[in-house]
Amino acid sequence: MGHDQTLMHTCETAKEKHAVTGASWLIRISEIFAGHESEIIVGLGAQALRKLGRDFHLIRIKQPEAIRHSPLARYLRWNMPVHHSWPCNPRETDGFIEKAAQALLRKFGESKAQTLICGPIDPGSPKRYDRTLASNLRGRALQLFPSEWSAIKNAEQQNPKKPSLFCLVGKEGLYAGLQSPAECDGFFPGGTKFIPQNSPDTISRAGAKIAEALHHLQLTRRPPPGGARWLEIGASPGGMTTELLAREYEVIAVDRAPLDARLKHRKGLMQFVADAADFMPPPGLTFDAMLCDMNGDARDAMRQLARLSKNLRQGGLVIFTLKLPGISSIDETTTLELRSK
Amino acid sequence: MKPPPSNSEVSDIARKAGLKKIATRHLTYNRNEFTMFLEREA
Repeated sequence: MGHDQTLMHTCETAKEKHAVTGASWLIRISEIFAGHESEIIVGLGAQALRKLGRDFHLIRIKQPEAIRHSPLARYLRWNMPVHHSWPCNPRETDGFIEKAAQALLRKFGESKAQTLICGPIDPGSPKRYDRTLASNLRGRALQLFPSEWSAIKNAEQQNPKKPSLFCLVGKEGLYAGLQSPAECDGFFPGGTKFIPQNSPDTISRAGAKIAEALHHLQLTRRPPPGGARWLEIGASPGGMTTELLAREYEVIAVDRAPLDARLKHRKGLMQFVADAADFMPPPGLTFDAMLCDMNGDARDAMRQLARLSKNLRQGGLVIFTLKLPGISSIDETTTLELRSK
Repeated sequence: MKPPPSNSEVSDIARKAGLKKIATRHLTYNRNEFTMFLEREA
């Protein structure tokens, strides 16, 4: 049986299986929940088929809407229906990129997808072949697809509501599906692009959190425009402040501890060395957005934001890290959530 | 020691202040925490 026939046979078999037992889906569960994956997958009413890379899971699910509406959906970083798969080791497969690109063209070339976005199953792989496989596949496939598929140069240019063809590839094979970035919960396969945290300019890992949050926000609304004024409470040492300043925002940073010395005299920064609970905005000062990544009891932190939100303009944005110290299990978190409703 | 907060408890404090929750997500760079997005109602 030729390669093409094998693919078609595989797809037909998969369709028959879906009809009987549910749809194949790829989900990503962050490594922080390692040890709880089975609990999450079973809780979604799904069956685990195979783990791919560090944190992707191929599952079969009878009610895919649970991926978005179950209380357990919050533990999923990204998801994609699997409309096409080729389990193989690309490195050991002659002409993998050409065969894979041709197969994607045959299967999806006439679809209404806005573009093709490829990503690695394991972005942290030390092997150069694995790291470049996704970009090489996208490059070749876009040579074959209609020219409009190439119009999107940056993943964030995608319309979040229109379907894209997402493709994950790695030493486990190739998995592709059509779905909008908003439904997938990210513009990139897996959710977000890699954000480095070990450059000499990195003040704290919190910077990556706000960078990803602002990226994710674009799935549902426009981020505040450049020049917008943010209030950040609990800002020290300044990891998030740095990211906001890099986007040409103004930042009012409040913390009883001073910010990192590298932020001294930074344009657009106004620093108040004060406890968030004691901070009173100067008369007439308003904010376009507010940010809080404080440690401690999340209720106390939100009370401070609620108090200060009198100075937040209507429609203004709030990004808040809900910290859950002391929570040791998925079940405990979900139970707390359901009990308080 | 206070029991740990839930998403809903924190959301209630926000809602009473006119802050409407848009989404709660566990993002790649979150640890034992979630990122909440809210906006001030018009």
